[in-house]
Amino acid sequence: MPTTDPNNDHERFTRLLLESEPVMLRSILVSVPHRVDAREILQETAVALWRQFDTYDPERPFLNWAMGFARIETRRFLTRETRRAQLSEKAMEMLGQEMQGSQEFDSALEAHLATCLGKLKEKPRRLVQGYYHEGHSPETLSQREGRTVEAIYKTIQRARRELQACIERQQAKELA
Amino acid sequence: MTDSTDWQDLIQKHLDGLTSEEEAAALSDQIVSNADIRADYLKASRLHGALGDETLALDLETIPFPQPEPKRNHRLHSFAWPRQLAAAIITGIFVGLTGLGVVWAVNSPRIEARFVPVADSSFESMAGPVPIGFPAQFGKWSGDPAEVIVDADGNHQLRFLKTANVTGKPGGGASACNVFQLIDLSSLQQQWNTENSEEQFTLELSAIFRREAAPTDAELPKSRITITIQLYQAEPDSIGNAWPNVIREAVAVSNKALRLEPGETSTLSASCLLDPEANLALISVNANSGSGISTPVDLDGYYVDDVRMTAIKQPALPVRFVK
Repeated sequence: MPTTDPNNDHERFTRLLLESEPVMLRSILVSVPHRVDAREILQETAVALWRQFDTYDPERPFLNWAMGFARIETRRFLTRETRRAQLSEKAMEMLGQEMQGSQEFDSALEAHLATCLGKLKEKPRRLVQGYYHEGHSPETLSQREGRTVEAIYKTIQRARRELQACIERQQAKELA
Repeated sequence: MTDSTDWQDLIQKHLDGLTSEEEAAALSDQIVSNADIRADYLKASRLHGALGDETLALDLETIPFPQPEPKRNHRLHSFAWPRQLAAAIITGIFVGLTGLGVVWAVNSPRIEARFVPVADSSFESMAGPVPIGFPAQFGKWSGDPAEVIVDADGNHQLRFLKTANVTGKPGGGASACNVFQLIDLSSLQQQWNTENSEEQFTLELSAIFRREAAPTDAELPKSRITITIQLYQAEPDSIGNAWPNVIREAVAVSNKALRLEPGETSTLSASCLLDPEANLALISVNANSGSGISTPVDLDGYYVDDVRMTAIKQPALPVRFVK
């Protein structure tokens, strides 16, 4: 753990972590899609990063350094996780390699997500909002909406497919 | 698993943690052996991640919960102006952007940028409470409870006071304090002839946000600031009448959100493509409690200043605009 100027280190670390956190979480979610699990991994990663912060070379991008820790914590999590079925190691490895090449879609995602969300019909949009933005479980949403949990999942899944198609259309329009 | 397996469906199920061991193994095999499925999985999982990322998520707090499927907003369409007519009317009553805007070249002679006038962009000619309610005309700030304050240096800034529901409709959310302005784009569209041009047009909105320590800080652990730009083909007063369901009719929407710690200042910007169909932009700056609750809360420590909008014209291909 850093010792030269703890306050300064802590502030610098917090700032770097906050900047990198969204990207790290989104990368972890590729291998571990369940958001609670992914947040747990992110938490463990943050602890590991702080413990090793004195080895961080400020000349290098913090995110690249941190992502190495995130991969280790993800593997560690998966060895002990039994609640949910996971992808094979080989599949995760290949996804990890190709993630670097998915930046075009990421840019399109960032540019058009809000537009495409705005085009969703009200019910799916409300569920997407509740599930992602407000962090409600499908069970809670099921009670609130008076629908079965399965119906809630189906609607959210269909909404994601619609959003993906919409973003791809916008991306194609840009490139046309 | 068979050849007829709907892999897209399985990808979606896996993202929600609903796949069985057998299904996850079959999906893994496909991801390893099939580049298309791999690409689809990556896109779906990136979207899944982005939806949970509050810095990207659309602020939909003003949509009432729950309510029946709204009727289509006929008024918006029946009054949507033909662009030529709008341009003729607007030319007569609106000061052209050439007169007010500043044009400059950016890096390349083929890239052009200009300021799009935002009325009272620095709030210098305003003081006291901002009008409550949705703006019905161009060039006026209004929205939820906010006020323009003058600091010790004489600088005017907008201060967000309290979250509210700008429509005043019962059952609506009140997790944010939004302040809006409608901006006429007709003149810009006409001058740049966007409909017939092969160039790409982008609008970028930016503002400087500041957060000061306030007594309510402990109650707002998830509060954040947001800047939003929405483009419409509509009459200005029709937006407020159909708010917030009108968002579905937007030609383009872009927003950015950020958490600020007390004492921090940050410039936030959002940009979107300028579609030739859009005749107006609805811009908003907001401070959001992040709680999703429907009862108003005091914000106290959030300020914004220097709201700027820039239009950028550039070759559509092969150069792409990188912010």
